[in-house]
Amino acid sequence: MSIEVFWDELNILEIEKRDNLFISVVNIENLLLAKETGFPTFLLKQISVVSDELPGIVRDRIACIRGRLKFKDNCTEEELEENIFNYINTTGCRRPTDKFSINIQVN
Amino acid sequence: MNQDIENYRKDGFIDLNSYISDNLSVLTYPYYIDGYEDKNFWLKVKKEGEEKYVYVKPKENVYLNGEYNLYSELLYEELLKQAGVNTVHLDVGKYDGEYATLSENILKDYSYNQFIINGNELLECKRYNTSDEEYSIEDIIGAVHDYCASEYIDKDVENKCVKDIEKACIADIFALSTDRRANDFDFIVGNDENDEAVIELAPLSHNTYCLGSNFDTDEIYDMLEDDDMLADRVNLCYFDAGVPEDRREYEYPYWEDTLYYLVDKDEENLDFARSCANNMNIDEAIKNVEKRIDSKIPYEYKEFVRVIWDNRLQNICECLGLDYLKIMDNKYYQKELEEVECQ
Repeated sequence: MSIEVFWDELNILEIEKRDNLFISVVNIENLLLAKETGFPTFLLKQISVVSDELPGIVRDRIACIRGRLKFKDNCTEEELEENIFNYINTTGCRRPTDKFSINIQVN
Repeated sequence: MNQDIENYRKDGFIDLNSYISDNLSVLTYPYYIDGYEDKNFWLKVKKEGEEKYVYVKPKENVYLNGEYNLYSELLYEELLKQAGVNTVHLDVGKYDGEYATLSENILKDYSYNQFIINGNELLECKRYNTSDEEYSIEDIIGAVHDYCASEYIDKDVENKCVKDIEKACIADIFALSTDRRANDFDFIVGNDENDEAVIELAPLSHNTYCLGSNFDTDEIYDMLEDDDMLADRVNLCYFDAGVPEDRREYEYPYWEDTLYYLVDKDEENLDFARSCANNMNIDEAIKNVEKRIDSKIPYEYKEFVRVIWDNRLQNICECLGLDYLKIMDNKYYQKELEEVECQ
């Protein structure tokens, strides 16, 4: 599974899940472009290159989707997972006050 | 084309279910922070001829008392205005038969590269050994200082942001706020029109538990009958943004510790606390809210709010060395003066 984090249209971070590890890679060129348009690099300071949990920037955005979709659709675990992926890729988990969006791909 | 949301106002409240079912282009986004608030959502609406996003907080997911919570949020908005603290303007609606508050997106101008992060995100970046609920006021202010140092933000902008946090906390203490977690502080960050990095405290918008709305109806009736019980319970309302643990009087964050910490830190904070004591007027706030929603706040809650407000004000006056009776006399005198002027 891989997750891309966008700042507007710029892909600034890719997270690859291998076994139980989350490996984060910063796209330096895009990060520098994003910085010019107001992206605070401070927000990436909490991200470990290799970690056993998702970076907060992603985790916080998808945390309650699970509960919400389950509540809404009352679906099975498999359906729920598919719904979550669809939901993330359709909306990008982007709020009206946010500039981050998230894309998720299952390998 | 969506219809204007104002067309759906009935008896002062916007009928959100009818609006959503009649306007198919409406989009909703879940709020993402935590499971407790996952019934809150964003709604794209047409208002005054423009498309806007509004944030809807149905009161069904409020811990104890949804109806009182609606009034407490509206009253606190009025009190914050009286104190000169920046706050979001709340509208009222009904969703699935429950009361709901609606607030417009704080970000009005998208031409600049600005967005909102909350205090918890700042704390996470700094890797403070703390959580959303167990943080101290020094943690959040420290995180703002670190953010400013990292983004080369102007000292004046930084100081204003810190000062706004401190003032918000003082106002919270007056209003017996028991829910100012780190993620309840929103910050507008990014670049301004001159491409300079900025940070400012966004208008206060997460004012869910204040003015006694954390008590249930039975407790409220009991407290109204027992002055001692009321005084104890009101005094023991904890305040999330406490001082660091080693400086706490009790195990939990206590409002008095935070108030002393803030007023000792800076003369400006002391002046602000004094101005809150003099300018915040609960009767005026009640009058304005009843006018806004075009109906009466339930009598028992109104009485309860008046009593707990006075109780907290007396305690704060004691802490700050202010003359409570003189403050009340001034307020009474001003009210009489306004009435005479009206006649």
